[in-house]
Amino acid sequence: MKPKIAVLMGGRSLERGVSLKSGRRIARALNERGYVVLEVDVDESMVSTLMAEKPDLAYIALHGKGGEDGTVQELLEVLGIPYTGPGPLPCIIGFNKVLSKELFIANGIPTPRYYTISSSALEDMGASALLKVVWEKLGGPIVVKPAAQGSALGVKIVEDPAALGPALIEALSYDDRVVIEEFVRGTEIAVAVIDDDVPRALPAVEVVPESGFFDFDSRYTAGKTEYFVPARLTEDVAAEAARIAVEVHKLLRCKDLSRVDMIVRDDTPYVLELNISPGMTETSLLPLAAEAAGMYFADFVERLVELALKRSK
Amino acid sequence: MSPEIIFDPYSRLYSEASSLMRSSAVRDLMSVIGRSDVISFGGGLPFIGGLPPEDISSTMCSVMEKSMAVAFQYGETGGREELKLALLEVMAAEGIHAEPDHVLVTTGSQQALDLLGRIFLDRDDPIVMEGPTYLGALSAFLPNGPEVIHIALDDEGIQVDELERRLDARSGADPKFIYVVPNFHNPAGVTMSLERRKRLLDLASRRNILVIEDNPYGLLRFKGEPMPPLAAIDPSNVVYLGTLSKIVSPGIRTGWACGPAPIIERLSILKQGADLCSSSVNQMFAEEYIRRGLWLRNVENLKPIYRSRRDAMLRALEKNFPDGSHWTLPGGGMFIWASLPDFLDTQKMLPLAINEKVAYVPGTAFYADGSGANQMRLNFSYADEDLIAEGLKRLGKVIRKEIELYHSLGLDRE
Repeated sequence: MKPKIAVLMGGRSLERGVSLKSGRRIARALNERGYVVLEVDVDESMVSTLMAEKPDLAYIALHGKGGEDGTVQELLEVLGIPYTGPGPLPCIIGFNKVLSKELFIANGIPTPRYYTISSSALEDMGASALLKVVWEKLGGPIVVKPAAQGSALGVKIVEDPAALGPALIEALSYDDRVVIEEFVRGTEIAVAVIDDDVPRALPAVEVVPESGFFDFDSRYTAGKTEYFVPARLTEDVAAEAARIAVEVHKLLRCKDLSRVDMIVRDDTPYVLELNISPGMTETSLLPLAAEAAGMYFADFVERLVELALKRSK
Repeated sequence: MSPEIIFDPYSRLYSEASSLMRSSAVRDLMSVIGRSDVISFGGGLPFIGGLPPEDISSTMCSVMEKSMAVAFQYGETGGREELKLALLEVMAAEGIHAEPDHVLVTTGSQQALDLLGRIFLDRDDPIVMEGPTYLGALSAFLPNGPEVIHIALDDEGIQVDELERRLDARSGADPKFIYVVPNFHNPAGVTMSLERRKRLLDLASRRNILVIEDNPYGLLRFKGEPMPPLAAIDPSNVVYLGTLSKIVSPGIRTGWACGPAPIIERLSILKQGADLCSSSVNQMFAEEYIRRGLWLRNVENLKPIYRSRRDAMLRALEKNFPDGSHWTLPGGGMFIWASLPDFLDTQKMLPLAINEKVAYVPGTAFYADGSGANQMRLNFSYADEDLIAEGLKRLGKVIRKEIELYHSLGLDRE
């Protein structure tokens, strides 16, 4: 009989809705392939449910806080249940943009220049006086993002220094710390890495805003963004992006699957962030990339489960 | 605002109207409303717990026993005649005396809003809506591409003087209609005074502008007699929308439009293409429920419950909201509309609130033009008094924290 897989989804993060869609789609695919599937909408009963059900593997389809930041991974370590994706420490580092950027920089991986400010620095140390300095040092436009938040929530592109304060307020709704980054103008791509002992990159997906300028609204509105897979890059640049994605995956000790978002400027890919639990809905990026590599969704999901199960033995 | 990029391979096929559809500004964040750990003031859900199960099941059984063959068959597009007669009784309770030919049964009054938008509006046609206005009306009207003119509300409802000023100052055609929610406004809580009703109707009639009166909450008045509906004062120029959602149940999807016969006829033709007919089962349940007088009993049961919850919310607002805030004092209905100090942005603040396990609907959801940034709608029908007190305590804390942040950034100058 095929193994029993608990698909962990939903939960209480702000990405709950997307996670439920991802999780259900994954559960259906695994069901089709004959696995015994347990759908778990994560809440206070999760631990007791897992202890009672004793699944062979937990497929983590949670997004954002709780699912990508090491929280659920730590619990699964205690329970002794194997799971998809990386262990607690890589999650903690990967989920935190400041920690991961510092790691990239320390290892010579290109990433946009940035500063970070916390809400306590603003409230207790008068850091708001520095905003002008930050703007001068980075040069506009600037991207403001919460330091620890798994998705596009709270991300704002700021073209006018007067808008920097309000952008900080928005980002600080999601986390106590913000990353303030130079806006790198270029081709935005996302590279999925699938890890079968040897990590390899799937064809990059290029994301293009219809408006021609990469502002927040166009990025996250359905239909206003076009995509090209494989991305329209020269062979050399595509190879370099793939190499960097694999390097990031290895550096953060990712497992099974990850997605690295980058912007290519003057043939140099700059890493924006790493995502260890990317969306898997019917309108998500990663399944598209997999399809472009000739992998149907159900095959793709099954492959990940096999990898994770293999690792656990 | 979706947390992730959405790839839609069909986007090149969609109509222009569908691209004008407005995804609620907070729709994705609001999926957290389903979380049991969040005290939500964000919904518009009536308190269903008050419906006696025996009444519901005996009514349903009687429908099944009497007329299953009819209940499970297609019915007339315009709705069942028996239901129309029952709805006339419901309208009469507020002073409207109409005839069955002036009534169209709809699948919730939301369908009536949708059909009205489609029979009246071409692209760029101007319409008047209150500021703020009902979110569902915006969803229904906006895909037709109208120009929305918001006229501010005050304690007495829509500011008729302001409306007249704006109409005089405009060039181009007069608006196709004025859409109002005169009783216990959603989201603002206020009720249009009698004087404003008369002046609004007078203005509308002089300038040949139709009035759409949407009245889900009129019977949920905590004290005193219902105000005369606009449709009772000037039936020839008003399309009245009613619904059983808040006084019986939203699950039976039963509402209606009552207005001049030619308009009802036209709506009916469009409805044919929309859903052929509303659910026969639902209609039969509704007419039986009304016939038994159960709906009146239900309304009387709800009033003290909602009143007590309203009072709990008002007390908690007084206790927890900062100086510089103010809020409406509804005499009925389900909502209070709160305004925070000008510099705050309730949409930006929402994730922080959710983190503290409390939710509301940010004010910008209720305007077509981005106004309402410092405002929020708070629903008091759903949570009980203890949860209301606790929820507003949490919300007060969030607001204070946010004000501190604005202050540290020097952005708290009004």
